[in-house]
Amino acid sequence: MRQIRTKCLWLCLLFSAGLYAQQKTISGVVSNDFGETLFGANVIIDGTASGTLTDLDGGYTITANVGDNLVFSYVGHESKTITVGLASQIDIVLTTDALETVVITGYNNYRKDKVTAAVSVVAPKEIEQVPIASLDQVLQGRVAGLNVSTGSGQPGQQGTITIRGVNSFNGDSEPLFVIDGVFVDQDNFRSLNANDIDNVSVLKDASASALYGSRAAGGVIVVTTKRGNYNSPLSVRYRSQYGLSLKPDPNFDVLSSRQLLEYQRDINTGAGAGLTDAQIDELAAINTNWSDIFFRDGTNISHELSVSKGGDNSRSFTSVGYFEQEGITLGSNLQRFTFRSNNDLRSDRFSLNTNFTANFSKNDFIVDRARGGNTGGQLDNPFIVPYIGLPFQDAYNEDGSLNTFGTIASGALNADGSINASGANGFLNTPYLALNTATFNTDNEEELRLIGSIDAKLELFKNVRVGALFGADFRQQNGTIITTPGSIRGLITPNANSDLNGSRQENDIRDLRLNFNSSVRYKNTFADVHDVELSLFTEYNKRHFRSFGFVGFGLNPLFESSINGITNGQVVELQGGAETRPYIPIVFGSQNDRGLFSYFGVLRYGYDNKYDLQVSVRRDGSSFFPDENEFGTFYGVSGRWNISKENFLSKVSWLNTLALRASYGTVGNQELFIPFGQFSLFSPAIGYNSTPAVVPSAIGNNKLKWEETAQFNVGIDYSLFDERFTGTLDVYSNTTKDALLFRPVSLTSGFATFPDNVGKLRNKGVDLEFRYELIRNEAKEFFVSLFANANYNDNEILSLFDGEERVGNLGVGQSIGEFRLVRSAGVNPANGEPLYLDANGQITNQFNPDDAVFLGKSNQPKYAGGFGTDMQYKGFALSMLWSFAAEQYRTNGSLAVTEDPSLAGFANQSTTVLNAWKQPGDITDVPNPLLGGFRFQAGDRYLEDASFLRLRNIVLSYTLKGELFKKKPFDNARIYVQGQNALTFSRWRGFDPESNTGGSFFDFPTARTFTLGLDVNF
Amino acid sequence: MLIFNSEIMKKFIYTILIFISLQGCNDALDILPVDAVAAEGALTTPEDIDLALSGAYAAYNPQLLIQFSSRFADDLRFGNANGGQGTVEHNQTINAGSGVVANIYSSYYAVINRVNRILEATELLDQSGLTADQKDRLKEIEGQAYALRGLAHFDLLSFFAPSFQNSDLGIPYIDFVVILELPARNSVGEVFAGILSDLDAAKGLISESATIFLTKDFITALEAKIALYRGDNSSAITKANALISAYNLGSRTQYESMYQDADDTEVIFKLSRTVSDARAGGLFYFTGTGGAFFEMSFGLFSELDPADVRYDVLVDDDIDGGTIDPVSDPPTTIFIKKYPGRDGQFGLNDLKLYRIAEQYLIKAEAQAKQGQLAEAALTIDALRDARFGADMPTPVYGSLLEAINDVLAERRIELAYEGHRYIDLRRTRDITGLGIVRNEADCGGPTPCLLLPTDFKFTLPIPQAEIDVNPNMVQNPGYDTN
Repeated sequence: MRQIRTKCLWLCLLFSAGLYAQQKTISGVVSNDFGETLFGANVIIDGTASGTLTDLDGGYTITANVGDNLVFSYVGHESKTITVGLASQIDIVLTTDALETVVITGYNNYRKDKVTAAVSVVAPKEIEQVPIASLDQVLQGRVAGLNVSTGSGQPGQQGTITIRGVNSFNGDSEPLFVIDGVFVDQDNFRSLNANDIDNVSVLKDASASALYGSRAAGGVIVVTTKRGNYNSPLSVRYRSQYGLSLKPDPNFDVLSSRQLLEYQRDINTGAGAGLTDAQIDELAAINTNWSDIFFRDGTNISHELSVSKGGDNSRSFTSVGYFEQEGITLGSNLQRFTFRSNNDLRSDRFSLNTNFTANFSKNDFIVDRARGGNTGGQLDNPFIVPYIGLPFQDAYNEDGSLNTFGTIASGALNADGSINASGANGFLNTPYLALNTATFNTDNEEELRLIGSIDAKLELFKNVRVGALFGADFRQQNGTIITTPGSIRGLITPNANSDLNGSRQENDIRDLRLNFNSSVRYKNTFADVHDVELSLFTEYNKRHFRSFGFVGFGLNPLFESSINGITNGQVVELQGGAETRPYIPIVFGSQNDRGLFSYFGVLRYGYDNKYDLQVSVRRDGSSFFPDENEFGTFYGVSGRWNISKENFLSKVSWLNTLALRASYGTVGNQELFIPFGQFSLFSPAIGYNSTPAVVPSAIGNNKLKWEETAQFNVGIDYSLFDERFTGTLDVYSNTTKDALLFRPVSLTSGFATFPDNVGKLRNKGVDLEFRYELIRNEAKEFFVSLFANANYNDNEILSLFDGEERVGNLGVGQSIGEFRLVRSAGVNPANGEPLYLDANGQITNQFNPDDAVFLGKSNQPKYAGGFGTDMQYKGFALSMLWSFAAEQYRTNGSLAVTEDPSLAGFANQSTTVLNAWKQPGDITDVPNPLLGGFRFQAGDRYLEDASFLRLRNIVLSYTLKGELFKKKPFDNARIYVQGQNALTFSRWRGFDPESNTGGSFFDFPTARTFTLGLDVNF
Repeated sequence: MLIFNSEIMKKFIYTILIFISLQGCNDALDILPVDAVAAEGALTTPEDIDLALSGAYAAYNPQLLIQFSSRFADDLRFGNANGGQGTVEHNQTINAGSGVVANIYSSYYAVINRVNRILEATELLDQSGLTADQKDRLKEIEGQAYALRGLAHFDLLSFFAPSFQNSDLGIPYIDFVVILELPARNSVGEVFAGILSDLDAAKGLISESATIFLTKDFITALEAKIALYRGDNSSAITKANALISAYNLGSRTQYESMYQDADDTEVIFKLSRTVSDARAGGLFYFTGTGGAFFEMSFGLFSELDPADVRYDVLVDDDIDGGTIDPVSDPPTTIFIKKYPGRDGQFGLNDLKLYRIAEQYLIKAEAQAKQGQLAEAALTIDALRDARFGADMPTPVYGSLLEAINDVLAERRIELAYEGHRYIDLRRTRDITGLGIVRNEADCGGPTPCLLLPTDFKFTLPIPQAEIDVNPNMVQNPGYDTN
């Protein structure tokens, strides 16, 4: 291909020398890679306004000069440029966007065969119309080495992303996110519309990410959004989706009313204590399944309209969208409005790209584990109820309505029917309390998110281009938490005796991230085979964070939903005979700025498309570090050898592409979640006897410096058998040194930790991605392809500090996230007491935390990935994505609560307690309940395998297109049904094996979502 | 349509390039915190140091000791609203990893750290330009800091040292600002020497007289207590007598008022608690709802005499609308009233940590140990007369054991829920031969009825977090099985 083009160029030169501007007529047919001819495709002579459109059969005729470049373009397809040579017949096959990918590395973009880096690209087709509100979650299972774990099924909740393993002890291991040149908040995607995305490139090695220097240790995810195409007609697309979210399968069982009452009688606790059989019969008549009460089928609705158009020198893409998702429990919702406008202008020497998106979202939250300072153990957490809600409590009032307050038996009411504030907030009343909070109280966040960038490029001289990019990510968040006076929580807020009850919290956050980048690029080709490119950049990053909030008390019922309903803090009431001011509001806030200034350069050399070499150096200065360590230098060296272009392989017909890549480089990490770790700090506080005070608030480290990861990667890209089998294989080894750790200090310092650079750790592993086109029958329009990606990662801590072998749960030779617990050794058959293994492996009945050992089981999966299939037969298409994580463990704290007899009086228990030790000789793993609860000395008893295989996404679609639909009134339409998380296989005993924490405690599980969708193109 | 003039663009870009490379750098790199202040500049004026003293006092949280002592010993039983609160302490399943233990240890050393920062700052401060008032205030601050350091070490020693014998393992005595240092445990004798020297230094500096601060009388009270614990009985008696001659035992009304924070007749030192602090009532109740997760043990209740004002102070007998009769109608639940709250704030009360009554008990115990059994009986009798508001029969002690048992019984009632019980049982167990013996109605199942006097749990473990990080630290016997 390259050779042909080179010859063409020579010919052109010859012709232009001899016969200046020889005109000729060219004709041909434009079709796509499915063999369909394209009607209305653009054929333009590059640099001019003259051109034509293809006819109904894809045919065209155009008059051009030899040496002119013809640009063929069609919406949704990659444009192609052909230089006019001798041929008069030029037939063109335009490939659809999804198949031909451009690799975006952020500062520069390269053709796939020029890329020296380990980069995975996710095409828009894979992430569009997935009914998940958070972009990061959509990526799960798509890319080898990219692991996304979701902590909560709350719509819009972000997951935790790791690329190629956790590479820091305490520093931020998550990747840097860049959207259209703007460095954005990596933890907050609920407001962005994934349908606007054109390309997601995941940069996994130092070749690409060293360019991002100090913030790239966790990898970089570069997102570009859709743009119009030059010289394309107005295209309008409407997409809509409707669906339901269903509760996941629990995979655990709790006791029925009868079982629980009998168990309570056995261990003499709770309502069952001392009951006769007849009394149990009576109580057991009610057997409430609290899951049924708390879960609902949440609806999902989305509408989206996008318009794109392009002229000779301008193009635009505009979209507006609405998305609504209800969580699987009452009070959990997300609503989102999105708007995007991307515009481009160009002239011969100048181009200007602008990107702007304005988004508004509104989230309603429940009191779940991931929210605020919650632990999961809050009694108003709806997800605690299916575990501990007492089944003999009746969910309904006598009139059949749902009981949202409680009963006399649950303690919410006194015997005379009056309210008992203490009992209503008590453990026995848990289910009603959770319902009450979800029904009457409010916890919502409204977010305005604006992301915009202007990117200008000017060809200053021949081969020299200067560029300037300004980007901003602005987030304004307003949170409101209202405890209404009439709710159970309101009864005791601000206190049980105040005249007015309830409270309102407002919490506003303003987060502005700015970046400015200026660049100079020189690019030239010598002797037609030596490609040289040198780019130099400076970059300025600044983040301004402000937050402010208050809690006001005593909501006047007349203005309950207004800030004006808050009672003035000066109001005096007589309580217990004393003058009190119960309504004094609480005010809080914080502010900090962070900055980064950098200069960097990239030098590329390519030889004849066979060899590519890239060297980059970046110097970063950060506000995080003391003056002497302010700057860090990071570099990358990488190369690519397109082996298949060598002559000795030219005769191997089954080999289409084979390339070898290698890279080595260093990247940094500064993010320890605290911006001022270099300083020992004093903070204001409320002091003794309600006087003002200052207190030491942190031990600083005036030698703090960059954490640095050296990344080594070798990979191959291949394409075989007429490009039916394509893929990549990468092997990597990443070593982090000076890793950031909140290093423990002696508690006699008054503190527990201080930030320090300590030790080394290494992630090494393999990334594998492939796609195989099993069936490619164009005549019958039948296509089947299989794809898979997988990552194996081995994490090892190589050293800590001062020769320490272990710090907390970090041990030299062990992995990050590895559990270190006392080994449980079952239950003594003689007396039912739990047994343990001491550090030396000897059985003991004494629990001693010093006996904890590393168990070789980690909360980070050793193997993770995804696989699936795409099938197409005529208009029908079926695609499936499975994702998996293997050798991943978590502690099951939810189960521990339901196996704790000391809680059995007010908390339902797991059916496993029926196997508890009862008499000498019983062989069981549940201790004698009469010995009490051993939840806090469980050791590894609740450490469970949380590996899973999940049908992440399945879509069945039918596309109506072709002659029948031209202008009638739409060009084509697609209808589909989609399932998200439709099936899960796991041994985990809980709702959801997937989580971003190492232990479960009544987490909000991810939903199973089924949707029906429609796409129409006009 | 070339609407952009490239010459203008060129200049524009050059300008920006230069601007950024010159200006951008410092703006992005030299950013100081605004929500907090770097430690170097924090304590440079007497006023700053005064704020720091308030911060040091604020960290002093003996409520943790009251909590542990009452839950671990025999004065509480699980209440009807208990949802797992205090299970670890009450079921005596503490180990080196227990959060309650780490809390006590770290919060006390936080006090010591804050105090040491104050003392360091006072020393570094150039006092030449200060006014006389400022100098006086600094002197006071310094005195308070020394006294607080002595007190904090004493509390720690009482819980973490296996005994009060000079040669036994003590705790690290810290008189400097620890940052990365890894201190070792001093012997009990060394720690006492440090404490006494702190108290001596404080004596020369303090002029404060308010009972919510550490006063000279407080120092005497603590010295009496230390003398008793160390077996220096005559000194204990002398110190106690000095205070007894200066403070009256209050009337029954005054005694009740004291627990409502309305009378200071008997108070030597009380720790002020305000709405911004954790409430003492929260040791037993959810202060928001009033639900009791701990109630008074039947063991303690059976020791109480309704004619004793301490019955009224301890027992909330207004429950269920009527006065309970412990004899004819023994209650099934006994709610605790020791911290009834004030100003309409449920459970919010100052912590009366050093009272004259304790000095009577110190004196009596020291007298008994010196063999002055009759004198000891008179001392106890004086206290009892005040509490009953009547002339009670003077007890007669036939032996040291009898005397100690009676003093202990009196201490249990007088000092209930004030953080003494666990310490009193542990330090007298070699005389009484008893550990923690709970009333059978208060225990059973997972809640032990007996802790043997030889049990290692009479000393708290050094927190695992400290053991892990500090190679110089030695674990207490029994907690280290390896």
